[in-house]
Amino acid sequence: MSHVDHTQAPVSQAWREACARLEDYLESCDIRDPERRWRLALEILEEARSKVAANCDLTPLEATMETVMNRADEWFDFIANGDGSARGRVAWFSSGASAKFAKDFLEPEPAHELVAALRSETIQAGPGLEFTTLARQDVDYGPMEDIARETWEKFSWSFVLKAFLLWVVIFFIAWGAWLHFHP
Amino acid sequence: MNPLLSKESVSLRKAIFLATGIGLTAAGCWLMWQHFKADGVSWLEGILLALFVVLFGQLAFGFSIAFWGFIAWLRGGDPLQIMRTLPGEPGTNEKISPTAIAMPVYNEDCGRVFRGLEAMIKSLKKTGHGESFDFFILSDSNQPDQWIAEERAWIDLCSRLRKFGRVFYRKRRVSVHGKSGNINDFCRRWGKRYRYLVILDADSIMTGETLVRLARTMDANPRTGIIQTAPKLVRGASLLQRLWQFSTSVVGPIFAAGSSFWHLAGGSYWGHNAIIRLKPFMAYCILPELPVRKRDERHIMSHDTVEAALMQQAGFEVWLANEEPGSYEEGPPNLTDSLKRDRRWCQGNLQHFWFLFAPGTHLTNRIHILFGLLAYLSAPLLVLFIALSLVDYYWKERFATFAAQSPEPFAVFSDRNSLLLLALTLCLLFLPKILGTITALFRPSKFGGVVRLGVSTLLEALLSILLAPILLYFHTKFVVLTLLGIRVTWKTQNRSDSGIGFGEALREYWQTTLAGIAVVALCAVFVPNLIWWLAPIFAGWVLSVPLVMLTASTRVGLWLRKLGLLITPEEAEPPVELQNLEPSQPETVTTPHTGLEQVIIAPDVNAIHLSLLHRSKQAKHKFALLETLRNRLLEKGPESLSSREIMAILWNADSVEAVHRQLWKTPQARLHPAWRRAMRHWAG
Repeated sequence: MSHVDHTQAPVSQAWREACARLEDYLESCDIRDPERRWRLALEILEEARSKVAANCDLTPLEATMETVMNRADEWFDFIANGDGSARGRVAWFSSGASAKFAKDFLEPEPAHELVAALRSETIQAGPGLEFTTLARQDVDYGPMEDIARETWEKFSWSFVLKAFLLWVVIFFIAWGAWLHFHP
Repeated sequence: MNPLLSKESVSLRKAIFLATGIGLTAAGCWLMWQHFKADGVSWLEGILLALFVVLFGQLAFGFSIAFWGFIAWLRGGDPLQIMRTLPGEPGTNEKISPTAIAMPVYNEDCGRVFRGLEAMIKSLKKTGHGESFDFFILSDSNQPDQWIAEERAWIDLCSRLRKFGRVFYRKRRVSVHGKSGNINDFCRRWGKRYRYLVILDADSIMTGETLVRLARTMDANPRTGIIQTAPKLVRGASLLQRLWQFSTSVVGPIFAAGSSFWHLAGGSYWGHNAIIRLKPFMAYCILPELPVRKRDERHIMSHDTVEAALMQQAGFEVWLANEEPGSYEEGPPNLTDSLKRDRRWCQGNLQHFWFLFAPGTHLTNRIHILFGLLAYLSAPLLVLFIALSLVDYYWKERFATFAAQSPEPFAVFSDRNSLLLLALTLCLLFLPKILGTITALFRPSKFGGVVRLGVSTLLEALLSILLAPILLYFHTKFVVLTLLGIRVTWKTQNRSDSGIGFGEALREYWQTTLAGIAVVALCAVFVPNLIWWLAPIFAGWVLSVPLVMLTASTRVGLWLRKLGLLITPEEAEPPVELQNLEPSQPETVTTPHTGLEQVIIAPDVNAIHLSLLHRSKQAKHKFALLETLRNRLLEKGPESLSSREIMAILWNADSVEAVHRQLWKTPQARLHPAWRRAMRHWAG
């Protein structure tokens, strides 16, 4: 994807877009309370602003989303006890904890109750693997297998073609003979 | 051997069943022989007689099954039923062996699949033995949208019922060997953890009570390898579904009882709604390859019959629990879908030919295999029989004309033997239906009352007569295609209740219509005396287009239900497990996004998907390819990728994560219009 040169766009518009996108993202993280959302947004935008100031190649949107996503990854990974941020996210969404613990979202020290609840939400796609080697059965198919194999070994289209030609010749000879003897 | 059985009972029942079938076949053939013998048997009549033995034999054995099933019903059920070995109700402390319930799915209606699972989980909970059962959704779906929908539905189900760790979801990366490959994959990963495996179809429902009873029966009978239940067809809305579920409710029980009567512990397995003992299954029932030349034709498509045969060869019993209630499935909504399924079954059953002469196969299995083969082979044989009979009649009629003896109308049925044969044939054809109706008359309220039961039976008979020639035509075509080596792929069944429009019906059934018109024309020219005798065949063919449309109609099906016609016991008194299977709200109002868009945009769906993916190191060339695909996806939109390419991205955790992050960081103006639209929809 081509890089966006944000210096060509009015700065306020770029930040407005970053702000709107951030709000969408937070809402998609199930933060329904607008006050909590705005408070978090302000915090993140502040951090993004300092990143943009330090690195002029960074657009406001990139900086903002990078900040919120990194923070979310770290937070969810902590919630999942280091088992990967995706697991933490699924626990957050599936437990419905966001309604009760929205104020703890992305906080460095979330409530113990929340952490305990989410860590108990074990997302398990399958039980522990216990591999078994499955051996295919050897079946004796009996006489049919022998007949089939022998047929395939002997079968050739050239035989069929030769036989066909022979019968065509016989047919025409017989026909010719019939015409000759029955005028 | 099971203590329920003695060698005598097994042999005696088999002998009685075979004697009935063989006796009736012999009677029919003798009458046919007498009919032909009157004016000398020609070579053509010799061929006809040979075909007649096979076709009449199939009819006679079918009747024999129904007759002995009816006798079992008269006796108040079969005392030699595996489920009767259960020692009373289970105590709350009784330990049931760990059982896995596996539902293989392949691009199925996701909502229906998970509502069915939910109903079973709740039903099991009520029994107090839910802890002994784990559920597995074994997905082979190859459509991205389907895959994502399944993942979401699984998480939703587990969160609502608090069943994480009891309900599992597994998506197979490489889907080889269809359903049997899917089940084998389960066995390889987790087979050791469980003693039994209940295999379901995507539309199967089994009550908790039945599941517990099956597992307890297996516990009580350690030599039992498989118990197959006789699932009832339910939840039909289209006319065809309601027709078949009525028919199987009336006649099905006596056929199932008759089957169980003769084979006892040598039953067959139908691939679903059955419980399997896993240890012998994994040790002895992994399918062999067929001894055919082409490598891709070596896989056995209809695995169930072969697995049952292998289980019995290993010394384990296979029972049919035909009296067990609480096992349900759904039928295809229209004839086209039913025929699609038949085409797969046809190819599978014909493959079983290899086992017919395999040394070591039990006699009962050989009989099952033979019945399975004849179920389809009889169609072309019947077509051939009818065609040769017409030729034979035409020659006789011409001979009579040359001899200046104008034939009487219906001269072919003029002698006593042929009339007796006609009566016997009609008896064998319709008596099972009559016997089934007699059993239904003892519980009329479950079929809408005596009058409605009578009307429904007549309606069912009429429509079955009209539909039979269409099945005959297509089964003949399937057998010919299969024998010519034209392959059949495993297509999803359409289990939703969609009707069929005129255009579609005409496209699919113009051949049968044309065949019907041709037969009428040929008969009118060559054998006008027989035209009325052949009317049941060509009427079905000529009317195939409207018939298909009519039988696919949900409106007609539901209207008949309103009138109290074609009512089944499960419609009259629906079990709790079947009551909550309708979606609580119309499913069309769900998100407008595709599965891919959901995974890429929505953090929750993205997280669900990532949490289920295994992160593996990619080879360099694969990494480069995925990068190209990722860039194309973002720059040119989701439409720029094929379904296979989308699947490649969805299988790669790094790609899914990278695209998700990149999309959120891209300004609106730089987004591809498709992504812009999707983001706007999503945010809105």
